[in-house]
Amino acid sequence: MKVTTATPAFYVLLSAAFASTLWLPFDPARQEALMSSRHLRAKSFPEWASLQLVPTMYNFANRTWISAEPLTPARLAAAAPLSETEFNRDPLGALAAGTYTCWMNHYPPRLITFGGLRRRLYRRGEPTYFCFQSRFRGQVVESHYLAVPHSGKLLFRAAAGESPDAGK
Amino acid sequence: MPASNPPRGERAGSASAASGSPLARRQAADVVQRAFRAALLLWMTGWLIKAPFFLCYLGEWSFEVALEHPLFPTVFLDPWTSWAAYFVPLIAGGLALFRPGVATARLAAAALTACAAVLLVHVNGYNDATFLTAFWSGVWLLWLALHADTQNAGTAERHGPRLALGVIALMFLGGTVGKLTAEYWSGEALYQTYFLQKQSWPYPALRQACSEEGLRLMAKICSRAIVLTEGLLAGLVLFRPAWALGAAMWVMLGIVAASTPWLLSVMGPLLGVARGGRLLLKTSRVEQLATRCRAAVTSQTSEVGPLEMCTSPHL
Repeated sequence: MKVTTATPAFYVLLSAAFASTLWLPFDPARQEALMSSRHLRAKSFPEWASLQLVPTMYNFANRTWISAEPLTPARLAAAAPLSETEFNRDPLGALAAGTYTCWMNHYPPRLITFGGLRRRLYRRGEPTYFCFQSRFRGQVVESHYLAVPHSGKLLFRAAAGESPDAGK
Repeated sequence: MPASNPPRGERAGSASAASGSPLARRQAADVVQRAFRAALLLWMTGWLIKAPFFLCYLGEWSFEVALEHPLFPTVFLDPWTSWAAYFVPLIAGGLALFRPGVATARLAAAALTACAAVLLVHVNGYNDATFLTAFWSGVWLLWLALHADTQNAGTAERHGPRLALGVIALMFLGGTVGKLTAEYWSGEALYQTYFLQKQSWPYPALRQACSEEGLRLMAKICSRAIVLTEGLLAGLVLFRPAWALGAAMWVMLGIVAASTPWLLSVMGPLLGVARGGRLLLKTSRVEQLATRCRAAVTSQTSEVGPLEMCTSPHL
């Protein structure tokens, strides 16, 4: 890019990002796309990557459920608050005992992907079930995942599951 | 150069640098490079503040158990990619700080922006707001580096502060818009995420000392204060950079002080942009004064003598 065009290009980029962000509360389709992208879901990687540039620091109301067993409505309803358990100290021991839930400030999948929990889930040797839920102005996006240890990797697989709100 | 009255601290520097003597242009370029280094230093601070964690996470745990997710291409699942993307800015940024120059500044800014972008779309870094603010601040740094030579320094001085404010406002606009939902306005999200779940100070002490109603009330007040503060920072884009950048710096430092020092990893790059933008403004004022002095000496029509103008506290 020539230096002479860099300044107008930067203004255009910032203006487009401002407009896109300001439009969010009025566009349910965009809310859904953005919340889905925060669950690592999109039609394609380029679409997801472009949504990553949209500044959404600590956005939406996000919850995660985690269990060693498939997340049935009964298990979702009976989930214990993760903070009141020994999960931080001994997640595998805690997982053996039940289903847990916690709120996240953003990107609910980061519970598994970011930090050291992935190593413990891998060592578990069994699949672990997750449900992520994000809410914004009445819109709800839910994603079910299965984390499967396999040959030095933790494989993320989409899974079928019930809505945590189904029993309410 | 006409001795008219440009808005203080905004346009005079660029005009004089663009049409001024080679000396003025060189001085303007020095100013831009100084602003670049100040911004880069804070950008690097943000990048490094969580280094102990990233060294373990990106350098060890990510290799021990790699992730596989159908959305991501192989390169953005590879732990080597995230490891390299974290390290390259340390080398490139260090080079630009210790061997200043236009070429090294451009190279460093391009490298650190690209690396922040890579980590923003990598499975090992997508969720860390550090890489989001680092990316947008990196774009500003790259733009500044492209204008750090004698030919373009005037443009940097004219547009740099306004663009800096735009980047900062955009980050907080995203923050506040995404919290315009009942769960934040009622305080429920903050109550659950921090007041109930957090194991670090002061939350366990608050849980001991307060009833559930008390905690919920505190969460509601804090939650609304956060939404409004982020909205205020976003709204600063409507004001003059001369004071808005300073206000943004103080508010961001306040946010860090009120939460956790680790938040400096997110705020550091934005503080750098604010600091860099302010340096451009400050030097614009000096340049404005010099321009007026030159005009007064040249025209000999000023009501006050050049020396008086140069020492006037009102300029």
